[in-house]
Amino acid sequence: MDLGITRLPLANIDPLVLLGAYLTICLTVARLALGIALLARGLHARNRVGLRACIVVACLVAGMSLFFSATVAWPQGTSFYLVQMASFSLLLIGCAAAVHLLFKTSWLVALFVSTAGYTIQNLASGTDELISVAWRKSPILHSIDAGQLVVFLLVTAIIYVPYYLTFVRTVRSAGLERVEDRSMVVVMALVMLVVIGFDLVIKGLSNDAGVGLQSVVTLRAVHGLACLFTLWLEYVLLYRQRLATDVAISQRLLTEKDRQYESSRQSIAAVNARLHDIRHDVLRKLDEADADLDRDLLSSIAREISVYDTRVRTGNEALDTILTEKRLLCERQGVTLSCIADGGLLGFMAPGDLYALFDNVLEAAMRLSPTSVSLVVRGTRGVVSVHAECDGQGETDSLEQARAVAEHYGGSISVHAGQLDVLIPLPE
Amino acid sequence: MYRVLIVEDDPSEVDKLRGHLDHYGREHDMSLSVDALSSALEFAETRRSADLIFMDINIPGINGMEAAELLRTYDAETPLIFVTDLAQYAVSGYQVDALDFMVKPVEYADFTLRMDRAMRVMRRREGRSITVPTTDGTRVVGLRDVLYVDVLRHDLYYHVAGGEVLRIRGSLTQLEARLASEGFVRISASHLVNMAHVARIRTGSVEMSNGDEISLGRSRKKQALETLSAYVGGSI
Repeated sequence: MDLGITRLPLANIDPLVLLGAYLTICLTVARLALGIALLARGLHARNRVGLRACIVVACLVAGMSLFFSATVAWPQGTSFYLVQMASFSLLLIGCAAAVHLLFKTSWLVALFVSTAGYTIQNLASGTDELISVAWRKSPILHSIDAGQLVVFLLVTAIIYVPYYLTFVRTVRSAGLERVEDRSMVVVMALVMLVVIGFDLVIKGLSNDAGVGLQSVVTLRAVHGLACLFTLWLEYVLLYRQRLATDVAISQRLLTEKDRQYESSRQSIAAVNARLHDIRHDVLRKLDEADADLDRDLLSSIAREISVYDTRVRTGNEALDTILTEKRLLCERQGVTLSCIADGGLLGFMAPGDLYALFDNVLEAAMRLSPTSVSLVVRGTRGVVSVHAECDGQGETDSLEQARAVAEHYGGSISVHAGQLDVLIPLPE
Repeated sequence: MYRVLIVEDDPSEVDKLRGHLDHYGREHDMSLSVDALSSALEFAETRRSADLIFMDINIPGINGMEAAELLRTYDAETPLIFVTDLAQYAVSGYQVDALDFMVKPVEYADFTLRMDRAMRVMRRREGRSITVPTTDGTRVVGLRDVLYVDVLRHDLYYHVAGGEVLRIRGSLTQLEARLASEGFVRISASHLVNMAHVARIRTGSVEMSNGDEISLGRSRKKQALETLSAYVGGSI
């Protein structure tokens, strides 16, 4: 934080100088508030936010006045830097507290918002200082100066517009509420040490007559980079968090599907084997010329069973399993399910993924209460095309699970009334 | 008027299908001319052409699947729907690019579902054309011959089958709106492609029937792939 009032001469204090210095503090705090507010705009305010805002403003005014008197009264020297360092760190923590007091949000989110706001303010004030050093070789604001006010406004625009367009918008779309990474505490420490501490050191050096303009420019550039790095680090933390959450969700979903597929596969295989045996028993009994047998009844039983004994063979076990399972379900509900499928094409996909995909697609079709469902799986134009169509009515589901699988393999899904199409590029 | 051909040895099944086709024609207010052949051999020998073929799989002599394989050696496109006694015979219908199949006795609900899809595919094959006012005078170009259109500054370049390129002034966005229902899809800021001429779809690009590879634009990729999946599946 650069308040431009370091080494304020204690002797012959001009009231105008004091007013100018106080105004500088106000402008700086306004800038800080802007950086934080842009980010916090997406958060939900707490109840009685007006009252809370009054408390924050009151604390701020008290803090500013205390700091102002301390700067004016404190003797210059090493301890003065320590006072500044402590005050600015305290301000940063105060900002986090204010965000937490005003908005329904976790401490980590409050930390995220305030460190970002603080860092961008620091980048802007560093730029102010650099300009005034280069311009007049004097970083000290001794009086209210129209020129410096113009620089202040210009720098604010130059720094804050890109900050809003790149950082704020990206972070808000990624979902601020999802900051759960405890590394935020480390970022805060980094901001205190590097951004605040380094800034104070540069300020001290640039007031020192022995340090040339070139060195100040270099140091300021490094400080600016440190600020940008801090913002980037914050973004990466947030992004990594989001990625980890997404992976965890899809991982859980697919593991669940793997389990379900395995149990389906086993039970369908068992039922098939049993039906196969029964059918053979019945046929054998028919061959034995036993007079007491009701031949017609046995024949009809054998025929009935043959319907269930026809394992669908597409060339892919996962697809066969889900089709057999769904066919039994359709049979019970009086729905015809027809399928033309080149299962041999699907070998490059994991069985759990296939099960999840076709389960989701056929479930969605069945929910439209159709009388007829048709499924066609074929290879064409370098892709696997899955087309499901039914004559039912109503809104088709969003098919999140099928979509996740299709997108995982670089494909796409399209939903029309009663028609679903999945496209998955074949590996080349 | 669409020509429908039924290849079926059982006259009662032929009558049933004819009945469904009449019903469908009346419902949708269109005329269908229906012909029937009683053997696949006759179909194979005469190479009878049609807009849509219903083929019984289990017919004496050469069976329906074999007849279909033969059909595909000289005609890759005519939509084909199998009619069968047992579902498991038709599972491998993809080998002859069958649109779908129906199990006997064919219920009207099952029939109409397949017929809707066949109609979409048949309409897609109708050759509409557009007039292109080029510098050498107005040209009439069949839409099915247009591979893709790209734009450079304010000029549109029509890439036509055979390698010809026609240049006219115009806006790709306006052309996109005109051709959206004709099987064209915008895949990038500067490319509008005819989906019938897409030979291969990759995650980031498409390869056209003349071998040209065109990248999918970042912002249009999702929508383009969705449209392509609906087209390839026969939903549009």
